[in-house]
Amino acid sequence: MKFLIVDDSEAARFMLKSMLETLGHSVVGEAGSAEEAIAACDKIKPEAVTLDLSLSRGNGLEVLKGLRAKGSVSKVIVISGNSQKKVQDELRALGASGFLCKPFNLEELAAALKEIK
Amino acid sequence: MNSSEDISPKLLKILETGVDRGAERLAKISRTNWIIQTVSVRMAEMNRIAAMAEDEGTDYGIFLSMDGGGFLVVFPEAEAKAMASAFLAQTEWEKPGSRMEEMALSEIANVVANAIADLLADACGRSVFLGAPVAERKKAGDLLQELAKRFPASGAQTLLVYAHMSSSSLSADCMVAIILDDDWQKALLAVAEAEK
Repeated sequence: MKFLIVDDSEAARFMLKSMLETLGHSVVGEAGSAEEAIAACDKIKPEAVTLDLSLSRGNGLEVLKGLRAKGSVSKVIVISGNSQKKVQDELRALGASGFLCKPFNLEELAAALKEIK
Repeated sequence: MNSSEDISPKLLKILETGVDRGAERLAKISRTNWIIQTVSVRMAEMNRIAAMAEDEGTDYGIFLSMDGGGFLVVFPEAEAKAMASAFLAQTEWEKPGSRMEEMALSEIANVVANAIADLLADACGRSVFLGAPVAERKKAGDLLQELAKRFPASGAQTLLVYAHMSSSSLSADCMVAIILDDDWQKALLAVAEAEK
């Protein structure tokens, strides 16, 4: 699958890109803020988006709302240290395809991606 | 300044569980077990917060904001490289001028702070989003003073959680300080009261 990685941390994006490529996927874009994420998704139209909830400007919930408002059909897997019940309920209602709590290993990422296929 | 004995047992339990989760996530990041050596929770007056710092060396302090408060996660600078290496588990990042060490520590702090924020949010039925981490290198006392400046919570009391963790292959101190405003403290106390 072709992925857009949305995470404010360059270190996290570096690791996630390496893991996705190890699993045979490709990374077609990266974004660190809500605004960048929505613009990049609009332009690149990735098959899937990995979405962190803490961003340098805005948060992941705003990104998901923005993507749905623009009619994006990209699958969204939320990858975050935030595992709050209320937040996850809201993300599910907005059509998030999967969740993965940080930190995670390669096997857990592979299993989460299998779920959203 | 009040000690852990004056804090509601339910609130203590929530915070200790948060620290436990933080240690579990650190173990997963570093692929080694971490043992929590000390956890203390105190209410402190804002103007006395800096006096709580016990470490005189330079530290990495990572600030994370949230509605009604903020987090400071502190790692000693001497252990920063080992922590970052454990997190990244790769060698390519170590190039001249790279800010990857600071970024790795910021991401570790984000994971630890979220573990505690999740517990607080779920206990109160709230949603909490932490802001992007901001890292600074200073003495712990100066970092604590800056915490009070960055997140001037309403009310005069600051909730401070101090945790020291260690692992067999990595040895690291990790201090977590949290500022919560009156609204948060009232919400958490209401949860504590409801448990009685």
